[in-house]
Order: sequence, then structure tokens, then C-alpha cells
Amino acid sequence: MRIAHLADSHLGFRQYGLYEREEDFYAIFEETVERIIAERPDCVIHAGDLFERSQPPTKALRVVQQALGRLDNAGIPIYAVPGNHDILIRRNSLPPHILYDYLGMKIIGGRNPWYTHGETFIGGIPYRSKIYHAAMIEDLGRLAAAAEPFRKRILVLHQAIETYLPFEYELRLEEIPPSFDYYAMGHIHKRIVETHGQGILAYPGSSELWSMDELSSYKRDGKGFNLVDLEHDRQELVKIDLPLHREILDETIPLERLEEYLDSIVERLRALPERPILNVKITDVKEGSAPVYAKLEHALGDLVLQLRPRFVSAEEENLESVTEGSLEIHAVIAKRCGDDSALCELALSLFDLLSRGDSELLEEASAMAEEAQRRLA
Amino acid sequence: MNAGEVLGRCIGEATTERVQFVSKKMPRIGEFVILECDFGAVLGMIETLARGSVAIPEDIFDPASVEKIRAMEGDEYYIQGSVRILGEVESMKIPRTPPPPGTRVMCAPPVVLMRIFGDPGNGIRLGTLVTQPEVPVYVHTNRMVTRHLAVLAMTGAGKSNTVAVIADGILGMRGTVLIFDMHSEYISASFTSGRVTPMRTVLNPKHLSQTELAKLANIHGERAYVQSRYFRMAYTTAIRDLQENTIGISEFFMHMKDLLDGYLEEERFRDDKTAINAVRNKIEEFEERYEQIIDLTGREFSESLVPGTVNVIDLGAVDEDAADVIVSHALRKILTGRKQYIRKREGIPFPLLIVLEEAHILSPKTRSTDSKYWISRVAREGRKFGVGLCLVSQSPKSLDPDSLSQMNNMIISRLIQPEDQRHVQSASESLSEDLLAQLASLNIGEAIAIGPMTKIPALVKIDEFRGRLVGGDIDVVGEWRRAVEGREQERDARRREIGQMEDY
Repeated sequence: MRIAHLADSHLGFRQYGLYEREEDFYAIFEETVERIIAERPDCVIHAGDLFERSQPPTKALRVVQQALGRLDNAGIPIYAVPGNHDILIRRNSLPPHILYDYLGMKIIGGRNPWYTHGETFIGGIPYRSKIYHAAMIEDLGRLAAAAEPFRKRILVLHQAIETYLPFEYELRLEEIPPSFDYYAMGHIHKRIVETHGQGILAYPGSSELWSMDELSSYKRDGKGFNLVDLEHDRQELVKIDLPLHREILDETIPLERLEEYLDSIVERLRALPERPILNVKITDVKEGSAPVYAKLEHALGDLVLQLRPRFVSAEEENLESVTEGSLEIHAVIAKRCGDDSALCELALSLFDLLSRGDSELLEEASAMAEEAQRRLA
Repeated sequence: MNAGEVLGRCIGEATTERVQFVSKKMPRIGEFVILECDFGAVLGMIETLARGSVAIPEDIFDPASVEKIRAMEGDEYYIQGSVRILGEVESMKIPRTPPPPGTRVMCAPPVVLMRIFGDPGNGIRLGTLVTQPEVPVYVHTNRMVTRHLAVLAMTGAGKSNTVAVIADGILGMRGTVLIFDMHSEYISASFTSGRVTPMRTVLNPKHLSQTELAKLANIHGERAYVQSRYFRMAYTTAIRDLQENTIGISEFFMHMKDLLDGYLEEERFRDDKTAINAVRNKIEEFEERYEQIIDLTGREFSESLVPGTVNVIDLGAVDEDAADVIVSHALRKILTGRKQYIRKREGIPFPLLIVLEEAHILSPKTRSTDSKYWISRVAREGRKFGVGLCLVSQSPKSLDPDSLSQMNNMIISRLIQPEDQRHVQSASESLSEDLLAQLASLNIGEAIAIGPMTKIPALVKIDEFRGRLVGGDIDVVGEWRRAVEGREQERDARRREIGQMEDY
């Protein structure tokens, strides 16, 4: 039993409002499907966020339709669980996936929480927000019980686990039943492979750069999908890399070295197969960013798909590394007022008074300020 | 008993304090009576009652004989009792001569009782007489505040209600109350005659004395005198630097630690390195421990008192040590603030009644605390400066007897433990043995009020507080049921939503 596991395709996402970026997402999806067919797995599992929105552009629907047609011709079934982008948290709403049942797509949802593929159990739960946590735990238990008699068991979820996304998680690792052989996860855009219980828990990550935050993990781990072999005693997982065609560059250049940089980068940009997105941060900007921008645009405008510059003065650069300690507003006010306790008291009382949002208190506040002014004078 | 009804006649030897009587009727303990003496009408209160039968003496040993006697004699019985003489009706002075034997004992008419208890004058309404519910009981506010008050009762006998009724009454007179709220009961209470001013439980080290700060930092002068010396050195220098504005208040503790680090380097303190390090550690521990209640920018506490309201300091979330420091600090500031006002027209321009809950923790019999000292100071000096104390406790036996004896007024509800009863009696001149015996038999909401605030002791059914108090006992069974039902309802609702959203 060999499975191709992918997730977070986000089809229909028009990054930065660029038509070309939307096409990039389609292209990498189509390549992924071609590669999957070439690998000849027994089935495909898509762990959510196939589309960027629950009402995708027709083009995105068409791309999936054609891809599923090719998989169907190759005799490879696909199981899919809807992710948070695929659904509307609303009564009686349906994910776009249901359009493809005639092409053999098997949707894991309320009506079919699990399927059997030969001797393998494939079950899962669509994305649920944290308020459904209790029901989630209950349903995970039910799935584990239903999977019990099967020789191989796969759990498909589109959720964040605390260990990997500490502040926005819906599940903790220990809440996931340990009895599955493979945990086909989606939602987190990094590539993660871990052992959990008796199996492997893996996030294949997104297939395109959905956010700039993914740049470092893309450089380190690449992007693509997982090929999992469950036939042997120990599961085997192979990461298949599909490099992106369009480069996304992220550079930081001090203003005084701008000329030098422009000279060197022009050649690099010309050599790229696709025009890249260029994020560039120019530091030590002293007076006005407009002329610097004009210069950048003039030199590089035609060579990049989009120029995304940021201009930072020396002071701002320093500002970015501050704010240690409390961000509680009283503490911040107190810190700002420094040693002047009279001023501090005035600031705090004014803050408290005016935070009540009652315009009738304005008089009281101005009286307070005048009084303080008299005292300070 | 009906007013003016003759209950019986005095018998035996009478004194100016007490007289025996017999009766055919059945009065109640605590009931007020009039003795029609030859020199004028005297008011008294029935203290003891006994019921007996001449035909059935106590030396009968066979129940069958009793039955025979009863069959012959019927339900014949007599009532014998004693009356405590409270004073002449006209002057409320103790008569110079005892009532003559055979004097008629009559039910006190409400007019007389109304004149004694029911005059709203400058008083606060506590409730009604237990024995004559139509007679309201007002207590004299000035005498209550200046001569202090103790509210003593077992848990659940209505201490909080009593305090709330008194506070509400004071609000009605536009007076000011300060409550140290140990259980967060009053902080969100609502009164019918005024409002609550919540006061932040924060201490600013700038306003704390060196000893208060040392205590919070766990440096005790008598045990750790070396540490205490270095603490004092660092503190006085830091305070001086603060006053000279060479450091800011936010740097205060940092500066103290820097100073101590400086001492470590000095040759002349070479032998005391351990002590200096200990002081430094204790300051750090202190900062961590009291992070919640230390506020370097906090206002002086007495400036935040609002007259005409119930000011509440919520101590529900702080430990006993911190409560001790907060209370003693506040008492010190209030007493000095009032003294300043009386002398120089600065400071706190209004008198106030300070309610101390759990007084046996703040002023315990066996330990010495800072609050204990300041409670006794306020108790002694407060009357001259218009600072009244109201000590509330359910455990009078562990309350400092000196503090308790300074509370000239008492409102005592049900107290069962003999030790508590004795302790209360020894602290109060006006609580007789017989009244004491009543304490165990009081019902919830009933109390004995004694002291200068009431002309004569009274058994009072305290009014039910008409505002809203948080607290009281939790309905455990109800809460359990609600918790489970809430969970089930929540679960069912979520299940329904999931069913509707994942119907594919």
C-alpha cells in the first residue's frame, strides 16, 4: 500500500493580486499530479485546503477537474478532507470537493467519516475550530475504535497541533489516538515528519509559497508531497521535492551599497527562468525614500514580477529590536514618563479617565491637566 | 404578651439589680417588663424563667405516680423567673431602692420601648426587638463609631449581613465606611443608600515605612539584626536619592540592589558578605512575590478614600502577610491623616468607620502582628479623631483580648463554644452571665446588642440587608447540576452545528 500525501494547495490564491502568482499555484499543482501519476501509488490523500476559498474561481475548479480526470484515467483514487479554507463555518454549506464525486474523489466528512481501501482504513475529520474541541476528541476516539479491526490505519486531519503551532493550535499531540500507522496532516505549511504512537505523523506542507514566512523553511526543506509505503513492518516515508519555478527573493541592503548591489543583481535576475518577486529592505535611509524607489524601479522594474521594497531609517532599525518587558499599557505609560512621578500620575489618571469613553468626562480631564500644569510650573 | 398585661408579682428578696417573680402566664426570655414600684415605674428584662408544679416535685421516682397526680391535679404549673432591672422608665437610671415585694410585673408597653429603642434621631436601624417585633431598634451612630464595635458570631450566623446593614445605615447618614474585604464579599456589593468605592490593593514602596517594607521582604529586626542593618542602610540611601531625584521611583529596588552590591565590595563590610547577599536575595524574592500588589506609581492610599461611600479594599487575593502590611499601613495613614486634619486642616477631612473582617487573623491573641499594634492604637486614640473600628470575627477566643476589650459596643450573634463566650464576657463589662447564657440559643439573624450605642442591652432581630451581597454559601448541589447541564447543552449545540456543517 503506497500513498501519495499532499495538502495546502490553496488553488485560486492570487498572491499580491498578481494573475501570474495564481497561475504559479495551478502550475505546481498540475506538476504534482503528474509526478504522483508517475510514482504510481495506490491512492492519493489530500489533507485539506485544496482551494484558497470555499467559492473558488472557475479556473481553480477546472484545474482540479482536469487533474482528477488524469488520476482517474490512471486508476488512482483520491481521498480528501476539507480544510479551513475549503469551507464556510455556516449551516448547510458544502465544500467545492463534492463537485468531483463522479471523478472518484472520496470526501471524508460527516456522511463518510471513513473509507476502506483493501485492508486499509482511511478515516478523518474535516477542519474544526477549537470551540468544537470536545466533539473532536470524541470523534477521534470513535475513529480509533472503527479502525481497530483493520490491518493498516490512516488518520487524515486538517488541524494545527500545539507542538508545531503553539499559539494557534486546535489539538495537542497527546489527544490524538496513538493507534494509527500514518497520520496524514494538513494545515501547517512547513514540512514536518514525526513518529507518533506506532506510526508516522507528517505535514507535507504547502506546495507553493503561500506566505513569505515560509521562505526559510522552503530553503531548508523544499516543497512537495510525501510518498508513504505501509507494506513493510516499518512505514517508509519519502519526501518528493518539487522545486518552484519562480524565485522569491528576500534581501537586505544598506543604502550606501545600493549601486554595487544593483550592478550585481541585474545579471542574477536575467539568468532566472521566471521573473521573480523581489522583497528588498533598504536600511540606513536618511532622507526620503522616493528617489531610492525610483532608482530601484528604473534598474529592476522590468526584470522582476513585482518589486516589494521597504525603506528603513537607522532609527527605525533600532526601534524594531526594543520592547522588552511588559506591554501592559499602564506599564508602558509609566516607562515613557520615566522618573517624573507627577507627570506619570497625570498621564495614568488621564488615561484611566478617558478610557471610559464618556465625552462628559472631558471637562474633568482638562481641569486635571490644567491643575497639573499649574503644579509643574 | 399583650402590653400592660399583668404577668405576676415580685417575690423574695429583691436588689436594685435583680428581682424574682412568679407568674401564671408564660412570658419569654428577653422580654421587657415594667415593675410598678412605689417610687415609680422601673424597666426590666426577663433573664431567666423556670416552670414547675407544686404537685410534681423533683423527688418523685415513678412515672406512674406522676400520671396519677396529673389525672387528679390537671396541668397546674407556676412560672418563676428573674428580672434584671435596667432603670427607671423616666430617667433610665438604676433606682436607689429595690422594688418592694409583691410589686406587679407587667408587660412593657410599646410606647415605652419605642422611646428607648425606636428613636431614629442620629441612629442607625439595626432591626427589631426579638420579643416585640413591632419595636424597631436604632443604635446611636456617634457612640457606635467613637466607642468602636465588635461584631461576633459563628460562621453563617449573619456577620456579613450585620456589617452590610450598618454600612448601609451609615451611607444613609452620608457617612464614610472603609471595609477591608478579606473574602471579596463587598467589592461588588450594592447598597441601597450609596455606592461602593473599590480601592486598588496596591502598595507604593514610596509610601511604605522602612519597617513595613522590611517585614514584606521577610527581614525581621529581632532575628536578623545584621541583615536588618544593611537593609536599613540601603533603604535610607535609596529613599534619600529618590527624594533628591537622583533616581526615579521605577529604579528604586534596582538601586537598593546596586547599593548592596556596592557594600559587598567594601573592605569594612568584609565579614558580613553573607548577610548582605541574603538581603539582596530577599529583595528579589519580595519583588517576585508581591509583583501584584506593589505599584511604584500608585497613589497614596488615603487620597483615594471617597467620603459618603463604602470604600472597599479587596484583600481576597492576597496572603495574610500582605494583608497585615496593607491593613497596618492603612490604619497608620488614616490615624495620622485624621490627626493632621484636626490639628492643621490637612489630611483626611472626614471621620470614618473601619471594618476589619477576620479580625482574629489581623489581631491574633497569640502572635504579634503589625496590624495588632495599629488596631490597638486606633482603638485607644480613634475616638478623639473620629476613627471608629468595627472588628468582625467568628473566633473571639483567638482574637487579641486587649483589642476586643477596647470595643465598647458589641453585636453578638450565636456563639456556641464556651471558650468564645467566656472570652467575650471577660472583654465586656456589660455582658452579664445570664445574657451570656443566651448566646448559644440565638437563632440566625438574632443578636445581642450591648454597649454605649444602645441605652440598654437588647435582643435584636437584625434586618435583612436590602442591597446585594456577593458571597454567602454556594449552592453546591445546584452548581454541580448547572455545570453538568451547561456542558451537556453546550455539547448538544456543538454536535448540532457540526451535523449541519459537515453534511457531505
